[in-house]
Amino acid sequence: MNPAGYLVVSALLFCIGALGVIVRKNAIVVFMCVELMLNAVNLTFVALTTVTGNLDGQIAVFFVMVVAAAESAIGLAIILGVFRNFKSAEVSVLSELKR
Amino acid sequence: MSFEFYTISLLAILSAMLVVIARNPLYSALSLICNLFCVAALYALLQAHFLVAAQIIVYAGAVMVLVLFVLMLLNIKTEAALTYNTVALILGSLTSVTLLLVYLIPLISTSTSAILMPQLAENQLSIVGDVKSIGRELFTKFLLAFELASAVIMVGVVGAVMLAEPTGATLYSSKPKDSTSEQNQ
Repeated sequence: MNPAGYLVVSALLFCIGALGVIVRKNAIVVFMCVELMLNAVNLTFVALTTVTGNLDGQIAVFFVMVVAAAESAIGLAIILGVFRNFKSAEVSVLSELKR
Repeated sequence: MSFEFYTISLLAILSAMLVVIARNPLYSALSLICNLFCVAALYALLQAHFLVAAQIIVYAGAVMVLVLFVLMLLNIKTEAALTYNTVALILGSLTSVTLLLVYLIPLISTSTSAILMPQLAENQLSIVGDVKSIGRELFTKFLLAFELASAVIMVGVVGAVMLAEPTGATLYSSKPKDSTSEQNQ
């Protein structure tokens, strides 16, 4: 099985996610775009396990999923705290250091 | 490359684009769930059976339910005009196009695929990521990392509870008095 097609798809997904992280203002949408980028990298790992001949790539994807689950819990708690204090979930309100 | 691969990857890319361009964050979340299912289907085509289950249970189940829950809780309105910052738009498209070129040029150039090809022929049929083989790897070669992952999740749970409760939120407030008045209400 040639992984080249999967690598192209994951590159496209990663770039779409990166564009969303830079362009969007809503913190939750930015968070979802980060998840999109993580998924693209996971797809690369799984596609390259067909080349390497062992399961290390799939184990790495498992650990990425573990860390992403913990990260999503903490990140959403932080977004909740930001919304509670600034009454908005836009990333532009978090510019206190600029003033 | 089969018909299934093209259909699923087209759906994955379309739903990923919808995540970025949808005005309502709720639609972004729903199309992200669609994208996660598409990626799970691509895992299935790559014979990674355990990861298909983990992707659907952990990502499309737990994480996206959490995201949707927070979206409903905050009740964020639709961005009416979806005005993008022009500088951010230019920088973002420049960055993502550059990244895409950096990924695709080595992939398309013949030398890299020539390096990959001899190994491809040897290991074509041997890799099936079912629960048995993943579990054997996880509990022998990666046992320490597996235990550390449980510690990471534990820290995540405690941190999320600390951040989400009202007293923990004072960490981010510019005026400490506001949070105390919120507690009294």
